[in-house]
Amino acid sequence: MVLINAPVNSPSEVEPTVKAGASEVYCGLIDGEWDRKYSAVCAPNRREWRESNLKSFRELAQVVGKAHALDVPVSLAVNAPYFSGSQEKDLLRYVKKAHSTGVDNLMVADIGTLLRLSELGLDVDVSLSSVAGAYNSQAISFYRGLGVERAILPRHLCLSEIHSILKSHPDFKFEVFILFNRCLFSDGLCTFLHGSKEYGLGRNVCGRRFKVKEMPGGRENTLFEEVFHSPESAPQNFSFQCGMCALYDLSRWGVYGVKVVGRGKPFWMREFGVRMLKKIIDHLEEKPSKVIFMRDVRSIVENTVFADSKRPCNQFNCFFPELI
Amino acid sequence: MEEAIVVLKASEIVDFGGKYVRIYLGGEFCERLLPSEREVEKVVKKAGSTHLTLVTPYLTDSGISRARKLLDLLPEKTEVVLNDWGLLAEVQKRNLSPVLGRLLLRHNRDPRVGLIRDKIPQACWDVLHYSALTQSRYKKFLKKEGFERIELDNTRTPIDHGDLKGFKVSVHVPYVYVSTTRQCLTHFMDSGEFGIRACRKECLRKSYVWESKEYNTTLIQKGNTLFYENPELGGNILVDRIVHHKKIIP
Repeated sequence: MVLINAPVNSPSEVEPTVKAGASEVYCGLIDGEWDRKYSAVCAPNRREWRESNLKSFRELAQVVGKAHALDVPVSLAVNAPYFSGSQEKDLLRYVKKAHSTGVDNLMVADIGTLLRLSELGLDVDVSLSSVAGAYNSQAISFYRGLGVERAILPRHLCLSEIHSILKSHPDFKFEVFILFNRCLFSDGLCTFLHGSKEYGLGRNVCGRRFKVKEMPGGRENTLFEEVFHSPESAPQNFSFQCGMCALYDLSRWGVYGVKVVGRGKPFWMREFGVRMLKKIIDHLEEKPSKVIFMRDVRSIVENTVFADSKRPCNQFNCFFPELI
Repeated sequence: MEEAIVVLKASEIVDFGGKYVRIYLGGEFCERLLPSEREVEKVVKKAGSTHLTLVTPYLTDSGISRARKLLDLLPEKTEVVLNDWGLLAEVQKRNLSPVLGRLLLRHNRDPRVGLIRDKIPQACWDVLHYSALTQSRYKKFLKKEGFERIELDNTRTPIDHGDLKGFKVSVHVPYVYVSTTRQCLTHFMDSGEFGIRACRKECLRKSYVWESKEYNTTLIQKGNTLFYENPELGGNILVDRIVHHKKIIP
């Protein structure tokens, strides 16, 4: 059975998230000491917004306690695209404190940090974050050599590309994103600032309006604006994507888990997403044909999450647009 | 100072009047622009006494298979710019010289970063203008893996890479890479089709500029990647090679 890895932003979210169907939970953390020194702009993970993170190691310990009581492991995102040499001591303090809470897994992207963790030999699993950007089987081999025990594949891979990687590493655990933000840019290779709104820089570049002109000629191209910024299409096209009908193949290919994105989304939305995902994974147990499964999933999705906007599944709200 | 020029095919190699002593063949951002085996053979032949560096992008499994065949055509010790860790073992196996590409060198490239310098804590500023190379462990790892050269962007806000003793350093001008995506925006803007799709190499015919009054920089979209332009070299004394992009190659 494919596992569901879902985000939590506070200890109180653990139980309802697990009840909704999550087999594992993950979170980020910007504690007071880190925040005062580095601010959220240089968060230890790629969600550089305070509201997407726990606020203290005490909260993390509570999350771990509640999750373990339900027999559910906890992962902590320590997946900043890079850390600098100047952060070495603080990062060590951070990782050791996290470890002392009993957290089960650290999601890491930075090579220096992977090397450091392997030297420390802490009793904690290490996952390769999607931010590392491992787009092929040999990149996975490279990172396995650095000690990672599982990998979250980048968002921007076709199903056939995912299949190829899974076939090359049948003994390895892979997670695939399945619900909510697919991101416009490749997260591991995007070097724009996140989370700098409080310092007056406004929205992230991907969520900002630009006038786009074709060169040569200077003709304005409004397609980007229409799809990603018009009030009727933007909410879906920008941050509400789904790839659940691909679960038929992903499950057959032996994917270990699927990941619900959205640490910044309201809790009701995340909980609803997990519940729907669980229902769909349970449907797989009934062994439907691929055609029936995909039809059923699309019917559920189009009548629930995409119902308000009256827009069916389309290439913008799908994690795997090649299926549309 | 060595000067190099980036090309996508042999026909772009003309009489450079002795200005460029090295050819960079290929793009860093899209595997669909990997040169064919025939093109690599032609460039190796045409380059003559001009040195050759093969540039490779980030790759899927299919891209790795194609890149492998190109590596087979190169004489030993030829430089190969890596933008994907998946190709490193292949380069090492063939006794070629791995070069750390811009995509594997992690640091902030947002052109707005200088605007918040006075508003954020000093330690945060340090992180934003340091690269991952300031970690001694990472540098040691690169040396162990055989990297002798590192490719840098000519960012508007200078980036501190720490002590690069033991490495040679190239800088790319004038286009600074900021972000890339496999959901090619040029294909989308040209065809309306979104996602990872079969392309018509629209990027070789057109590019786009992104402008906003609320954004301090004009962004240039070429193919699947966003850049900004910074032609002024900052006088980085570490640099021993300038890599010129006459046009942006995605």
